[in-house]
Amino acid sequence: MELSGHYFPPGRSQRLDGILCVDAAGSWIVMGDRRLACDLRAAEVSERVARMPRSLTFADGGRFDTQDERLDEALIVAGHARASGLVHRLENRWLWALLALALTPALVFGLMHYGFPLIAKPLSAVVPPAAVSALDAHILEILDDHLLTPSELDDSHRERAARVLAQIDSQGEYRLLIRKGGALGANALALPAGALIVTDELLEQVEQDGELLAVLAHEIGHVRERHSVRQILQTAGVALTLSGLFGDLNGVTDTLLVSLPTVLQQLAYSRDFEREADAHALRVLAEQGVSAGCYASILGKLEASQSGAKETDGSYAFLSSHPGTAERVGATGSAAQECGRVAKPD
Amino acid sequence: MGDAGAPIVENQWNQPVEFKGPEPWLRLEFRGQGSEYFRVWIVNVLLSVVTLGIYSAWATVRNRRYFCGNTFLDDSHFDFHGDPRAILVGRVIAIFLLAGYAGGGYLHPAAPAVTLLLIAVMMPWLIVRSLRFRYRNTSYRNLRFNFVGDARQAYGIFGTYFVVALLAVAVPAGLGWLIAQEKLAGIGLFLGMIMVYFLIYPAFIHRLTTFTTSHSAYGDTYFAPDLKRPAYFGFFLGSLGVGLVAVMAAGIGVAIIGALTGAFAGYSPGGSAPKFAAPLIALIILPAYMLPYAFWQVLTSNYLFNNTQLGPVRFRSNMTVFGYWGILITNTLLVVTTLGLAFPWAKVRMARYRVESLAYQGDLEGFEGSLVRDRGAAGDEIGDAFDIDLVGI
Ligand SMILES: [Zn+2]
Repeated sequence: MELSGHYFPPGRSQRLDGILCVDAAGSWIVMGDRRLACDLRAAEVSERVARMPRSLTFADGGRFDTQDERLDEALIVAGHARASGLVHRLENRWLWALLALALTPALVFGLMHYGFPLIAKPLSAVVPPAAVSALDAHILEILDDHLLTPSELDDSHRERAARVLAQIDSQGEYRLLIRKGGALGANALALPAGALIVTDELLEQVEQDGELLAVLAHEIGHVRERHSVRQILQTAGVALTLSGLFGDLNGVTDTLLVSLPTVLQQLAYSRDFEREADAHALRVLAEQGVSAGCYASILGKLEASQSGAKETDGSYAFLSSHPGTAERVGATGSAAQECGRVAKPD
Repeated sequence: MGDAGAPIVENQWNQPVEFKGPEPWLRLEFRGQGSEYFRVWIVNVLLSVVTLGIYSAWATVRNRRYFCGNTFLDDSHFDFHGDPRAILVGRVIAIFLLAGYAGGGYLHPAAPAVTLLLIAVMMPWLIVRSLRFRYRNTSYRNLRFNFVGDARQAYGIFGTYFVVALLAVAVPAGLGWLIAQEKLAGIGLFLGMIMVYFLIYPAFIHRLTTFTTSHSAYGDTYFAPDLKRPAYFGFFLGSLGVGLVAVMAAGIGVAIIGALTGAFAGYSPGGSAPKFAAPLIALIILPAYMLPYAFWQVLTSNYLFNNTQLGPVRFRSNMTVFGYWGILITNTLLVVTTLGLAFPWAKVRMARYRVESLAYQGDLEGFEGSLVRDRGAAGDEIGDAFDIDLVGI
């Protein structure tokens, strides 16, 4: 078998036209009147990329390049154990390329929607408590500096809040912080390590203890499910994936392509988290024998007092624009009027 | 095939190169195709996603091999032989640094600053290591390129210019303070910053480029750059001036669009600007920001090739600012409007423009090299060379 190509002697930049002759007895490279014996079995075969010629590198450093398709055959004749070149076969067929094109978005979507949340959940449990508390302190500092101001309520409100929390937090795992909400309005926030921030504005709206209980249970749900840590992990995963795909684009397109889907993803994630926290709140209400109507009641009041508050980075605002309040009220399965009837305040 | 490279061909972007001396100038050629690279890219992407990013190191090697393998000089192509495992190690370290910068702030307010400082301190070492990995694993015909600069020299350069910059700011500011306290200290500080910006930074780029180029080799033959410092002052001032003009022009354009769309909306309180206003404004602002970048890239790159010799071989690069700028703009539009799908075509277009703007003159057959290949040094390679994409010089 004869394959034409080029021979490159070791340690020089020369290129010589040559023919690789292979038969059962051995192999040679013939260049004009020169004949060079070579050991094909010990040669290293380069992996194939597109139309690039394949290279055989011999033990002495000499190299032979050929475009000839029969190289595989020749290698078998010479007794060389060849690598499969599977990736090249995938790349070489439009069918596979189109299949990859269809599969990739599906996979990326699946990874973001199911994969990362699935990974982030157990991973969030491994994050050391010290790191989570540091996170708490840091977020609280930012909130106190920019958004919240000290509470202006009288002691009766504080005592009530402390009493309601004690009802569902017998172990004393959670720390209650009361602040004037300002721009946040009537709202409640849960910090990752268990600080619950309730605003003056919210406490003023509360008529039944059950309503406050529902709000605190929802926030505790966020803490217990480690939503903040999971959100950070998931967002990091999404950002890494996207920058990996379009990594070496020049600056401008980068940010456009990477930041937009990340924002969308973040909204979708927090929707799932809100549902989890709501479910937890309803469970706690049932345990405490408080009507789910209290949850519907406070949700309705907050909806009326402000049309959706913004979420603050790393923490969870009680009233976010998603899922719709109507949907959440519906999920409680009770009417707001039922609140007072079951849990009698006094 | 087999004889000397094709005679010089004019392409759509370039002026013909000048002929000088007995040997003709021959153009480099890029033979990659967008549709072909698309297949390589999409398979890479799929495998990278399936393996949660681990395959991306192998994908990088295939990408580089595709672009090297389609770059032809005298009818022979380049090749890349890097070990994907080394790239993977570099990537893991880069991810940790990135996490420290982006996510560290959640744990400790000082974490991003500390990470940045760490990266700054590591920078000279990173540059040297990355260059070494790249060059030693790039070949033309049967010879590898090489980079012999060591981290100590790189630290020397970075350190010197850092101290000089510090002095340039501190001395005028201090003098100003001594003479007339706040009144003159501010002016001194300002003068110092101007000096850093217009003199010290371009001089630093000149020094760094000279260092990296003169410590690069093909086989045993070193590249010999002859770069003049004033040229870099010119490039820097020029791109700054071009940028200023472009941004001002863009500002006027945006103002006109604002006025026009305002007129369309009729200035009615409820009337919002038409939907096409935002993309139109982006269409004006993006090119304006890309122009100074194109200016700097084209001028420094042309200058480097035109003034660097490799043994008997000389180079000419005649990219044009508008040619490069046009490709940047159209590539961005292409990629954005196709939601990233046209990325392979965009990359191939840019590579073709850069490669085919190059020509060489001289004998390529006579190079020799002792560093034939790095065989058996794979383990060593992982430990001491990793590859991070920050070598933009
Ligand atoms: Zn919530």
